[in-house]
Amino acid sequence: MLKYTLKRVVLIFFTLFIILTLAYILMQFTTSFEERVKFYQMSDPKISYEEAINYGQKAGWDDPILVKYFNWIKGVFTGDWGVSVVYEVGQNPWTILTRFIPFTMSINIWPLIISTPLGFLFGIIAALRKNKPLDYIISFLVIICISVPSFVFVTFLMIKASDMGLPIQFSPADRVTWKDYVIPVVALSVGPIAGLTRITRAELTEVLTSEYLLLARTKGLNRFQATIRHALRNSLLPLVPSIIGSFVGIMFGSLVVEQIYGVKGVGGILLTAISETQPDHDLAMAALAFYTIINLVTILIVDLAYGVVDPRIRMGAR
Amino acid sequence: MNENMKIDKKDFEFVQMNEKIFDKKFETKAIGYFGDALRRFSKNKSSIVAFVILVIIILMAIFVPIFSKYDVATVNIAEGYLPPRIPILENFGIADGTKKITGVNVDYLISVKDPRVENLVDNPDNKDPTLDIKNYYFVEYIKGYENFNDPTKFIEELKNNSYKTTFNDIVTYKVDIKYNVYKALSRPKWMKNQTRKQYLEYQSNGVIINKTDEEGNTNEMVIEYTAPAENILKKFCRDNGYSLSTPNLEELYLEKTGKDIRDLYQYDIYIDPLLNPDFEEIYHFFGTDNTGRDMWVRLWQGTRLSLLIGLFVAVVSITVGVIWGSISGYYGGVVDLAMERFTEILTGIPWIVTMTITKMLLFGRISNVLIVAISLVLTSWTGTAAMVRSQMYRYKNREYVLSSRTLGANDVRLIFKHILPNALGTIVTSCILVIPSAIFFESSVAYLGLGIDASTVSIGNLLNLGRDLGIVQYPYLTLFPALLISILMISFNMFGNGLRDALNPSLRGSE
Repeated sequence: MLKYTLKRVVLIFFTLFIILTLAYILMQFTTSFEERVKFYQMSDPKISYEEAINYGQKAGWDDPILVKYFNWIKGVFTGDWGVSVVYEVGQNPWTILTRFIPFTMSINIWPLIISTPLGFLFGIIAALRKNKPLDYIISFLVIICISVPSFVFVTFLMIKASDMGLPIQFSPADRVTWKDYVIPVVALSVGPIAGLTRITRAELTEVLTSEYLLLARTKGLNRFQATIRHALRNSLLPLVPSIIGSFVGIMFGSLVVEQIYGVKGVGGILLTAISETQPDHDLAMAALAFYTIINLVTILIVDLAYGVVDPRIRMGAR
Repeated sequence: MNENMKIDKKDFEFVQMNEKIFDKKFETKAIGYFGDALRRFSKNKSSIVAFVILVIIILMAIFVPIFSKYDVATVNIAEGYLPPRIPILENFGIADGTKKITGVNVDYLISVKDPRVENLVDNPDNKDPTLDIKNYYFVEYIKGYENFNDPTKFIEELKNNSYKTTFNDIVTYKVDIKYNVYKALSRPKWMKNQTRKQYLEYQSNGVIINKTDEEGNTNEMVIEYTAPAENILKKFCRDNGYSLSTPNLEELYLEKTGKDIRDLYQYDIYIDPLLNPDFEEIYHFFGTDNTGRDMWVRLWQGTRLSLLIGLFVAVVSITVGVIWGSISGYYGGVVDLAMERFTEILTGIPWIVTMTITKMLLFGRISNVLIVAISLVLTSWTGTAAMVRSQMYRYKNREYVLSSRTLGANDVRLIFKHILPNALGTIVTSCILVIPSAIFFESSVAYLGLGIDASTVSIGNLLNLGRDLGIVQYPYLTLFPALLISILMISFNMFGNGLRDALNPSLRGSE
């Protein structure tokens, strides 16, 4: 297990390295030296063209791509992600990001925390009432909530925002209260709740028809006891990995929701950094690295969780 | 007894002498794999409904833009911001082309997106008497009067005067007006070639100015009556001893009297040039956007684009995925290991990263629609490939494959003739389910204003425009695209689920 985990962690770094390398080199092809100097100059009207050229040469923008790449990767290992030239001139992109990561992470983690008990609850109800009206209602709502995109939810919540006494847009960073989180978190929770309900129902109905549950009933447990003591544990544990896995889905949804609701988060930074009129390469790379790391770590945790939760799956078995 | 047992050789004959013996054919008809799948699929009611809805949507997306009398791109500012109007439904008060405006000053509210509209509508403390003049179709300008205390009386008066009504005094009342925008557009047939502007000028004897926004785009045409307000101001100056040239006179007026001068413009009430049969009728089923483009046509055009992107992504991922997965799974060993590492890295790339890089690399060189499609395709095929690979592993060592190989079949024949057909059901299902996710991504990206440029019609773009123009003021601009994309996603998912159950051979005969 330990060996397998170590192997996977090493592989993550390897994958991250390859993805960042590809992204960096491809991104260098998108703009020439002159264009970068022009973008830098546009960010501050006080900078003259000569100053901008000097700055660019000092920063090594006219080096060959491979040289640039090795300088950049060297910097990354020491925590120096280059220089933001548009968003906040002269800042290290990573320090810019760290200011916004808390907002992004909270609107991503809360849906996970909210959706887990609710999804279990609705799934259990649907499974216990299988093929009864309540089950049909839940299943119908599930398919709707899975299919309707989260940005549609957030749009309609925003129409009703002032009726519910919630802010119409996310407040500026220094005045954020819990009320600001309600709309994005609710919009992002709907999909995961529905998804979890669906798999909980599927898993639990399978266990409920199994023979050991029949045995439990035969030896005298009533339906409630049998379900709580035997069926639940066996059916819910295998769902843990998929709960963690839904994090990736929420992460993408949050990119859209953040943008619509005006949340100052990593998604917004990435979108400004890749605008075609004034791209901010180093900042974009840092934001891409953030998303890639989240993605890879989530995949790793899901894989490891399968082994922890279900001992029958032997890690790294061939 | 022995004598009785005498058997004559002649009594015997061969049942078959020159015939060959075959197995008897089954009397019943055999149900093949697809026949069975079809049978089980048709038992699943919700999937059938979803399938029918899908077919309708696809047909509409193909034919509505072809046969509609409105064009997708033609701009007609005069018909901007029209609410939905649908022929039969309008008689029941749904989608009847009326717009409700609550506010102090109707003209002002029409011309500017006034934040006060929201305040008035949303503020439950607003106890001002409101009027609902919905019986009148073309109430655009109100000339009110100060002594107006009884709303019902006012309405009575309106009803009794089905011609141009004028009141000499000034209304300072907040009114709630539901008026039919389409009637404002319709004009007698003899005026058909005249513009709306000319018609309104003819009707109102006013001067129409084009109202422009900050960027200089002409959005609205507003009839401006400056004279009455000037008269009021003149009287105000006379009474209080100000000079007419005093700067900020309007604010002074507001301070002194507590009334906003802009609310005191005079309005004429035009009661519908009545339900005159000579009027040509305009119908925009889902309303129009700011530049008067018909939303109904644009919505179906957008659906068409969404479906095309979905189809493209599905076709490419299935082609690449099947080839990649077959090679990786069939040959196994080192080939498999290398190919697996490659897809593993690809699946580790978040979609936003591929989107970013394709966009930065290809922006401006190829159509933006293609950029979105390519960025989706880059990683979406890995799912199909992984699935095909596992199916290869499952079947490649079966006896029937072995026997075929013994008979001399080559790898290509084994893969495509013997193994893949077994995996067809799973592949088709995954392919169907790729389409809604592609549609979802396209619309999200366009909604972000990232992917598809504003000149291309897509559902995401329509949503984006609706949000920019104001969800509260023009809910129908957001509502219909949002509804359509939701219905599309729901039916694709339900159809895909039904198909998966039907094509899954292990569920065969379980019902």
